[in-house]
Amino acid sequence: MSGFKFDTYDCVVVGAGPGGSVAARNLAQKGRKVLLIEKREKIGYPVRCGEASTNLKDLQTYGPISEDCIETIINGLYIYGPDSVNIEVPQKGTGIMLNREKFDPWLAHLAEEDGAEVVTCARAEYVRGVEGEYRTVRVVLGKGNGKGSVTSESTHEIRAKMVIAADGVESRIGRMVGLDCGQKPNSTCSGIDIEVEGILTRPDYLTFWQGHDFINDGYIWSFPKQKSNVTKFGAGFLIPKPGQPNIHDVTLEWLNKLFPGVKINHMVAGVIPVSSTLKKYTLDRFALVGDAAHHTNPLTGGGIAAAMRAGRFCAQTVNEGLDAGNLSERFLKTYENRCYNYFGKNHDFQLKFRKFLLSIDRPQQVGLYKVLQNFALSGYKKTSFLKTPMQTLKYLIKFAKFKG
Amino acid sequence: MKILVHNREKCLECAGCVGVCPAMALDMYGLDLQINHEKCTKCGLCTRACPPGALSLQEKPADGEV
Repeated sequence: MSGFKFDTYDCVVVGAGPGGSVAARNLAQKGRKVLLIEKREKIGYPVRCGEASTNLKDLQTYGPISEDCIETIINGLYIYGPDSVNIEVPQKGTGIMLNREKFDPWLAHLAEEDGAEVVTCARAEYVRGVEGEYRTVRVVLGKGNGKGSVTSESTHEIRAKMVIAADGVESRIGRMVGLDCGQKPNSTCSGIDIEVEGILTRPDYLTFWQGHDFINDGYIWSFPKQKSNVTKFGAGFLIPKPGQPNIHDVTLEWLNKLFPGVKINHMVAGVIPVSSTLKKYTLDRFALVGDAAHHTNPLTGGGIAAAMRAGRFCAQTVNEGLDAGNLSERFLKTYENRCYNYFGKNHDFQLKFRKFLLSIDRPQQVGLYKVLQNFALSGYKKTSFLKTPMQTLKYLIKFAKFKG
Repeated sequence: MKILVHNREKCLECAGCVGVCPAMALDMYGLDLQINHEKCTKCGLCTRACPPGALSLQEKPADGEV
């Protein structure tokens, strides 16, 4: 590839993760001229994710998910809580394990099939302010060596009526145009995910460890990928304070403690925003999608379904804007509102709950786990709370009063 | 005088450091991290956030050394 088909597009989408690819596809389906650029050589590589997602239905609003990309259908959660208060949450089809190395290229390919131009080894270096009806994106185009490394070859100036930045946790594009989307130390998680040979925990359950010693501001996970017969064992915590142990060492220590002698295939890493959605992530002819807009669940760190949903809402709003000849910040607020109503409200609640968990002391935390344990044991009957009325009431009042 | 040092062997290419750098001194292209030493304020946030611990602030070697 020596360049781009055109020098002007209806929309340039930066980043071919789930959010970017869905946005690009939905716009291409409406006949818009779309360019989707990805700075990596191979879409979906390296994986930066634990690969667990919410239920299939949530992802399938986009259309059926290719069987190839699904590793496991998850039928429940098991949480090893503090003081051996463990919670089992059986729930058929509550989630799926994805194969992101297949899933991300598959989504990008769908966008391409529907008419979007997809270019890899292409890094957005700069985005200029609005001039007339356009923004200009300066793109560095390079050549990959087949292993993921890219050498710059040429620089291109591309005009677009709309720029969608789905550039992930890096969030550079948004910051270039003045949005406050960088990751802040007290609301960002750092994670390591180790692929281990064989299935370590219940094969159709997601297993978690939470509330142990210092792993309070995050959790340890064991996610089974059945088709590949491997387990993703990992840990994610808020960015350690100076002097605290490094996430890599903590993860390995726990792996060796819980499952000594297992065979490690390889390791991936990632950083996740857990601040809940940004207050503002649109500007004139500009919008953020996915991790860049902090569209991640602040309790679980999950963000695949939300990013895809946001990609769809963004495309829908941009399409309406292109029709109306209006892509002002004000018009694009509709996109922000659609996201807020669909998942943003819930993410704000989850953020409050996470902060609440961190604010209470150990005995209170154990007590809360016991209340939730009863609730799970009863099969989620709200009457289960009546067994421990005082305890439940105490936490409800505490939570209601909690300001975050 | 300290300088940010990137250990390519340890790096898992996740680009998390790029997102946390308040000075926007870091960027990743392909799998390679680019450090803009002029922009870097040596705040050390990336060294804590980096999951595999591939970034560190080290004393700048004297001229002529690598």
